[in-house]
Amino acid sequence: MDEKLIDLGEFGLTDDELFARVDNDSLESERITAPRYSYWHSVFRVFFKNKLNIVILSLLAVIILFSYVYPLIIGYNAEVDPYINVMNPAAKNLSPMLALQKLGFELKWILGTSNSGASTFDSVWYGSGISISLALICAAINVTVGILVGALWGFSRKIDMIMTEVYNIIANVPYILLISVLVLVFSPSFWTMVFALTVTGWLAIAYFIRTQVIIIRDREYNLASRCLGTPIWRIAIKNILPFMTSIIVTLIATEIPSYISYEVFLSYIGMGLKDMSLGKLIETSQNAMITPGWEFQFWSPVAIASIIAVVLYVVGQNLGDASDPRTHM
Amino acid sequence: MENKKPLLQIKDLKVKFRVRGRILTAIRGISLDLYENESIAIVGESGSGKSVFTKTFAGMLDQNGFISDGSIIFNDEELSDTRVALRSIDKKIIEFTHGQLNRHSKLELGAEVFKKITALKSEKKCRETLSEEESAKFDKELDDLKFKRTELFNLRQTIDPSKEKERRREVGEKIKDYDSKISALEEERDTLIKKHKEELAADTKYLEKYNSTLNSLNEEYKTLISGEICDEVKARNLLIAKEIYLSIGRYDMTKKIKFLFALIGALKSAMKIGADLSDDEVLNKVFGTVVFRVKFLDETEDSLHGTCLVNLAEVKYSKDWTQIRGKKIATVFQDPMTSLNPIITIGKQITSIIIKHQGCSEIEARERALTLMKKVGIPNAEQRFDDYPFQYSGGMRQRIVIAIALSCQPKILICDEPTTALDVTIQAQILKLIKDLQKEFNYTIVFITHDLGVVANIADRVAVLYAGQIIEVGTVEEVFYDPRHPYTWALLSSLPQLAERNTTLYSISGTPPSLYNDIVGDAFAPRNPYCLKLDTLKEAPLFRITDTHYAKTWLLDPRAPKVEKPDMIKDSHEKLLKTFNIGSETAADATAAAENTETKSDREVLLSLKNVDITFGKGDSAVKAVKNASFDIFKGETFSLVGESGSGKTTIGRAVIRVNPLAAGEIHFKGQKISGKTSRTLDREVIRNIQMIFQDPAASLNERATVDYIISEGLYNFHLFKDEADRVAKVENMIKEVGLLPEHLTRYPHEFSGGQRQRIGIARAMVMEPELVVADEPISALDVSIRAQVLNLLKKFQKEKDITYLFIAHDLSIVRFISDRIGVIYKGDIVEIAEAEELFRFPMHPYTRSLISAIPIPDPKLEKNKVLLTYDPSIHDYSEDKPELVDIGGNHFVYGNKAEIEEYKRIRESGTPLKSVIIEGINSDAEDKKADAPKEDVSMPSGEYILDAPIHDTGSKWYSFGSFLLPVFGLIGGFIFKRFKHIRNYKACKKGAIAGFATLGGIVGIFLIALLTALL
Repeated sequence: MDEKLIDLGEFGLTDDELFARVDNDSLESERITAPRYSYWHSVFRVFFKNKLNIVILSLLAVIILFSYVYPLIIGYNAEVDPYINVMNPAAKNLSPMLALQKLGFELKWILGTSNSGASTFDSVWYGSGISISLALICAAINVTVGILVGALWGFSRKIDMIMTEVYNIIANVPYILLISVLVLVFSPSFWTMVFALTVTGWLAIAYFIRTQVIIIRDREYNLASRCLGTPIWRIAIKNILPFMTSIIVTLIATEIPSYISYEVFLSYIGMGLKDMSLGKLIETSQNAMITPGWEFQFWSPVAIASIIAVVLYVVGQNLGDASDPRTHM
Repeated sequence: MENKKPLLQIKDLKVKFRVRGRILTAIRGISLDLYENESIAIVGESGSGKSVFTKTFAGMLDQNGFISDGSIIFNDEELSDTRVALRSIDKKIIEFTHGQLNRHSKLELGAEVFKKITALKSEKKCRETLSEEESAKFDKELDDLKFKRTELFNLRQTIDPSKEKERRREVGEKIKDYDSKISALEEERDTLIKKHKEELAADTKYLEKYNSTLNSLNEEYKTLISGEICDEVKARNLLIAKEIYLSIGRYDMTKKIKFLFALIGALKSAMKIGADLSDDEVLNKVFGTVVFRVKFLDETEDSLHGTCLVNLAEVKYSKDWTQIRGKKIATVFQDPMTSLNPIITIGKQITSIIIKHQGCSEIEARERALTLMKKVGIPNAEQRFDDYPFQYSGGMRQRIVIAIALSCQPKILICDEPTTALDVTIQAQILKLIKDLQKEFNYTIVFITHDLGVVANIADRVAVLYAGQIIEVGTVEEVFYDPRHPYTWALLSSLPQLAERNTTLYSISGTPPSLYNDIVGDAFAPRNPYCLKLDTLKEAPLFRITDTHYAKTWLLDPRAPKVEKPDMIKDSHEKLLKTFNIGSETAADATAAAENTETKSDREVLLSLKNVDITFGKGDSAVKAVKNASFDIFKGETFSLVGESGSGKTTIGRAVIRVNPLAAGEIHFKGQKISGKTSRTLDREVIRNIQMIFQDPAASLNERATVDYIISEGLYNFHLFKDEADRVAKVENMIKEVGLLPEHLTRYPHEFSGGQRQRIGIARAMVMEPELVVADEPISALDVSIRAQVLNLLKKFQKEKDITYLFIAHDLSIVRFISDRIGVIYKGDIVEIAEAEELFRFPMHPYTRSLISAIPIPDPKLEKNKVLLTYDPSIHDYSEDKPELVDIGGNHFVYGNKAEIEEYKRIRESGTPLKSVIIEGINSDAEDKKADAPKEDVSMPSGEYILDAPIHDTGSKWYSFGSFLLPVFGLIGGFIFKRFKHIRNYKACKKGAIAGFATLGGIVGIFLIALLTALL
């Protein structure tokens, strides 16, 4: 059959050259052409791709800066500064505009004055410093203890039996009630608050971690590690914990705001710290909420508390999502 | 094959996916014709695009996938035939459309002038910017540069930043170089455009002439389009108006109006440019931008009749797909466990589909469903109708899925690897079922698989897919006996049934190419041992070998060197005849072969199981997974344990590595007891010396650890290295031995393919230098060509390091190639243990025989005529005579009672090998055939016999509401409905009545409580 041959002139080679055999290097074909993967690199790439996260993160940074650095800069002394205007009745309960007029054009009068003539701006930042510190310390303690206990709980079946009973009893006592009782019994200082919040706070976290561990524990690669003789602690750290990074980050991010709200609540019902934390500020300026012209005293600490809580939630959730390796794919 | 009209015509299909900002071309131009009542198998590796291909023409592509090119024409009369009712409002719409079209037709009169105007305008534009050739030249150069830059960028991403800083920097500089070249070129282009613009503005003479011509043309145009159109054109417009109405008739009102105006607009633009609207092709194109064109056939007083060309690539609306999917094209998926809804009864699942597509009553649907269930071979269909999916076994579930798929008698049945997850015997039964049902229902089977034995069984035609293209297509005999493409040669060569024992299996090196980049030349070239220079430069067309056999390789070009297919697959038919004892082997041959095998009496026993019982659960719900298992494994051999899922083989494997505790019996390793409590030193030694390779390469590696850590995990645990340098050396050595590169050590498991991951798993086990390795189905999850690599690797380690394997598998053909001795296990009992060749020559136990007969033979002539033996445990009578595992001679143990053992001994003494595989026409007589359990003779009610659904059995909500308000009447009404078999109404009334009574009861209760509290 006389078929028309396909024209191969475009390559400028002779037929013999074109149809010559070529040897392939077999190892070359094993090369991987995909880009290299780095876990944390991908986490931050996914996190910052969302513009909202950048905005919120900068807001968080501003708040933390103000809470900790500002009082240091102006040399705020909690014993002295709130009371400098206590003798001056004209300086009390001023709205921002009046305060700026009467007391001078300084940054610290931008939110007005409180019932005792103290600058709301200063006290709000000082207070939020205390609240954030409280929340961070409690979160740190609870989460660490919770993860350790939860991991152990998830692994060992004997401990599981005991701890489940313990959990069933303690978790059914209302948390707020427990904290209130403890605070009443001990004097309400910073460290007793910490104690009250952490004495059973870790239990819920431990339970949560335990369920996650149980889910991952029976997967095949853990069996493989056991066959290789890996001790339990290394299995926990290398095999299981990395999968829970996403969960742990989300956990931390939701725990911190919840402690802030607990503290605000306790102060509001009168069982809070003696120091001027945010909750205390809100409590002392309760009446100012409805009195015309005095609103700033109340709403400033409320606003700051809410902003901190929301910002932490959002950052935490998004960081948690970004830490999940499935969102990198 | 006669010249049948193809049912589905696929032309130049291209399917792409948007993945993380890049475009992946999954299907790169496939053309295929599917005919009625045939079965075609699509073969390919994972990643070749076979599932994507079938999902495309069922309209089930993922959200990020789209068809970028090509057409899929579905020639089904029922679907293309359209009838639309013509009520008075419809006639009015048609009149309106006609009027609009007549109005727009005036533009046609001036079409020529319009074309001249547009030509003039575009010429001016060209002068202003760039001419066609200049613009094309710039684009090509830019594309070239950008392509090179992207490649360099991708290359840089793969370089390890910590190890090769220099190289990374170099590549980075080259990238910057390219970037500057690209921006320079773009600048050049912009300045050229500016220059042209300025020149044009200065050329006043040309501008004057342009303006005057434009004005005169516009005048002419205006006069022309105010003319009158002739009657012919009006008649044609009426026809088009009717076609418009036919095309939009199937949609609801809002869509109809939307499409109507869209179509009128499209036709107006077509008329403006003077397109020839009496030509079918042109009309199709114009309509196609909005909806399918339905061609007008005829009309009656109150309906219009038309036919359309269904192009599945252009179906835009999901409502159209509901007519096709399920009714015309049905799919059977791979995993029967997840294909069924776990919270709805099986009966309901089938009947709901029947009701949806055929619109009959529930009772009728139930009858049809029962008939279907009996047809697919479910025993006790009536009792099992209301069972849930978890109460069915895997094979049964797959049969139900097939029943559901066939419930609406589709034209095409797509089977996406339906038997990969099932055992060999069940697989054989399911394949037989699909073929038998095809004779009855007359559908086309599209079977996707990567198992060539299954292909030989079920297919008439075969299409081999690689990297998104069909590289060879032909009838099954042509492809198996006369393959022409090097990839097909490679696939056939890697079959273990064709290989001699103690040789290396042929395997294809490397991995399929990445489909993100454009592929230059042949996609298979880098892995092709017969690669020509031309393969790296240009893609081959489909060369014709016979009318039905086409292959896409340059080796078929008349100028190419003559290359024969490799020796391994020459005479495959004869080789297989010999392997399966189908030919006439005499007793003399058998004894000669038996003498060739070594005597094993002086070998050392490494592992020994004695009367092992393993039980799961406690008390009443205890399940005896393994009963009284005893066998020995000698040092340096490969012992295979074969059985179906649920037989207990994995349980035994895990008991050997001491994960599962024993209920009774002992396991001895090198003479010492290792089951039960052991001392710590013995414990450590045993862990080190017994290692395991797992089945699922994806789940058995820690996703968040680097390959380096994964391989060195064992070394860390046992401190098997002197210092860091030693450890690194050991790991690098091991990774080279398994065929990967040291640069892979810093990568994570998910970046590797399945075969590579399994090799990492093997490296992890082997780096410990164990004496016994338990391999738990290590190759069942891998592709056929990759299996060969892994098997070769295992054999290599065995030879070099004298490792003993306990190989657990369910595929007897692989097992025959790799093992020295084989043990067959059935539901917890070990039924036969023998040397490999001995077992295949003298399969004594009926279960072994049924297993062997179920292995798919990769040879169409043999496989299609094979007789399937089924094993029924009730043929044994163990009430009086208790069975035991007894040696019947030559180290061959069989499980049976005294009578059976006598029989077996007698057969073995006679020396003639048994025929385990029976092929009709070659070695079967009428008496030899063991018939399957006869199915009940049921026939599907034909289409005309439809139990008329009672017209008023609507189950309308008003019945429920009425019964809620007046529960007593609702109850009475419900009973009346039930008597007259209006089941839906009955149910509605019942629901309403119960709700009514409950509310009444609640109100009365509250009233009583209030009364009581008021009194007290």
